[in-house]
Amino acid sequence: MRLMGIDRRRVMLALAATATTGLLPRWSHAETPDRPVLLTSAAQIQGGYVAAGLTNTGAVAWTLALPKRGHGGAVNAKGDLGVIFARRPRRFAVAMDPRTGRKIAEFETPDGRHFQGHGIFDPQDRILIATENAYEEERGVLGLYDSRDNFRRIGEWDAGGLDPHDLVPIQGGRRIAVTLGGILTHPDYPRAKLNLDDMRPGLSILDMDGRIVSIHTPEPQYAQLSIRHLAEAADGTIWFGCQYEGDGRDSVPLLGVVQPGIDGISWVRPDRNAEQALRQYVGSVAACRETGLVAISSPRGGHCLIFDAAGRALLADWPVGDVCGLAARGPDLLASDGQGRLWRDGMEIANAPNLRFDNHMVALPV
Amino acid sequence: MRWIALALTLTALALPLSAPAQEGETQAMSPPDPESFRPVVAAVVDGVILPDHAGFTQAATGFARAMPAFCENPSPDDLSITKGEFARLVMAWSRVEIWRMGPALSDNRHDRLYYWPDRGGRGLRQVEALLQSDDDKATDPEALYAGSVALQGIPALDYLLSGDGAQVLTEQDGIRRCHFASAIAQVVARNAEALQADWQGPKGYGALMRDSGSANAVYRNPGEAMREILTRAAEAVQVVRERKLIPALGDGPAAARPKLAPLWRSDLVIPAVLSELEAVAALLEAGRLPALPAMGSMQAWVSGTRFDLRQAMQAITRATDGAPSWEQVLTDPARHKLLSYAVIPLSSAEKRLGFELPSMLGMVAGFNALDGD
Repeated sequence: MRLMGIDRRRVMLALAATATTGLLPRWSHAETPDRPVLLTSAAQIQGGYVAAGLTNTGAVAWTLALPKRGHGGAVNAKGDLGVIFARRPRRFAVAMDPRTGRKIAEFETPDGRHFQGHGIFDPQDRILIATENAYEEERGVLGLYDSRDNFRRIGEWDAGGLDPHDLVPIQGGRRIAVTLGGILTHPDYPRAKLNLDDMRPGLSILDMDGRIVSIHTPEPQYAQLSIRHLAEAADGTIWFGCQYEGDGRDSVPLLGVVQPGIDGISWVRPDRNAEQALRQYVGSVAACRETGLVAISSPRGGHCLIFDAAGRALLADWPVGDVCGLAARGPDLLASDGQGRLWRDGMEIANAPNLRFDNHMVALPV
Repeated sequence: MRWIALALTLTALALPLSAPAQEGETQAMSPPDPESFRPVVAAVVDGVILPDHAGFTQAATGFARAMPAFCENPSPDDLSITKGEFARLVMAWSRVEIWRMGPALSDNRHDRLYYWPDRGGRGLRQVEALLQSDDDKATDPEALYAGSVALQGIPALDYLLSGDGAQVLTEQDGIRRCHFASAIAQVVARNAEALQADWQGPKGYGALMRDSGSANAVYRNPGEAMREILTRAAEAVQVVRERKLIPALGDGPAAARPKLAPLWRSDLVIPAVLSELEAVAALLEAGRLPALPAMGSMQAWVSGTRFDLRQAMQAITRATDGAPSWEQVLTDPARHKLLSYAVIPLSSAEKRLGFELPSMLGMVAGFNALDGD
């Protein structure tokens, strides 16, 4: 682990327990070792895709077969309902009890829409809000599914732009922030990017009734920065990570901050070495409320960078090959990689040799 | 058909038959020093990438000369010659199409040269509208270059030379269409030259790949440059399989959708696909991967990848041999089945190039790094 900057004391305090307790769980004394605390999707070495529940020691508590490759997930505030979404451009989602892996439902988007891979529950813990591509209309939407009615789709909101991908509740659940990748795709040509010459990425903020409050867009020179993942930091700022679709030689920011209520975007530029290590690709973002830290991962660069949200300074750089999944739980920053390893605060805590952890993890409530 | 001859030529170039390696063979192998990839990267850059880009520029400038000459004397014979030049352009493009990185992304060159997939006919509608208008832009290469990427590349030429109404090219009524195609040909040549120039020379992208190191902005060591090569190779196979073949194959001959494949108007779908796969196979030759020190069973693995590619190219060739058109290939049950069969070894080649080979070479190409979201 490499630490940098002047604020070492803070990150060391935040991470100190890791160094002293090694592999011992430390999230909560009340938690039993076999209780799942993370929900993720994964590929099995022997073939096939699963949802998985991971314990606080990194053990795989359960797996649940998925029809195809999954992507991100959602867990309700009560912690008894989880959902894994299909990786785009597929249309399925699987709901389960994330404590046991018991399957509750499997449901699909309607014709003309597919999941984009992420969702959240509304503050009442009832409505699942999922990013979707309305591909025939070339529009991004948020699909609304009633979890108490077998995930019946009850409506949709306009996302504010093309290619909505990740979303988080902000301001205590009063609003939602949505990343807009800006890339046009259509399932006729799976994953082909159809408008790289005319991308319009952004970050939209919506009220909980679907009204768009604001859309924050990058300057024209950064039009090929696809804004894809985000997290709300402890101070209410929204941190987002980008994937650049232009020339690898270009020097472009990959991390931005939006302050709700203030127009525009502030870019966070760590030193050039750290930025280059990301290989123009941020795969996931997580914010830790207890420590005030923000983590970003780059599977292409094989690095996690840790920032102090308040000072916007780079505090640590964890080299982890093929890392992507990130989650904050209690004081901990957790990362997963494509080799089935789970990392806590930059240290490997477990290895599931039969799994490759996919791009994202969701923490169950503490 | 001319593409049958091309297809057979390509198949004749296919690599010797050998059995695919067994997965277990790789387990005990220790990964080589990344520095050992330096000569491999140099061989790929100097032996494949630079010559292929030079070949593309040559084909593009040749076509840029042929088009205005044809417009001066639009006889049926000359149209046939011009379409032959266009086929050469397509074949040369298909060899460089796989390098969608650096120079191809700069100034949106890839999209300028090859705006495809054109989902919903967005680009085609622009071409048709400009053709029908009396806007001088259609015959002005500078104006085309400054405008939409859909109006200045190979798919637009495919439509103008072989799409609806192309029969007027040999008539007086076709003069605007001819000059439109001629102007696009000049822009294609300009972009091909710019693309090649960006790869070449001591400050070119080829040098960037060759001279990896801690001071290199893109490749910190030869292993990263090698990984990029394998990623592009895997992506090329994936694009052929997922975008150029599977959508057109549909769920069966009755549900086939031939127009979802690129270049169907000029009947160049198959030659272009074979040329692209041949370019991937050439990487395994030029890179001399089996000659790397400490490679152990590497040779068997590379042979397995070649085997997959050869199987796929053979199946494609057999499916299309003697067929009067691309549409006929897809609607004939026997041909459809054969072409569907090509998808299977392509899937295997993609897996080997994109995941297994990088893993064996000690690169964590991985699951997330290769194909995140």
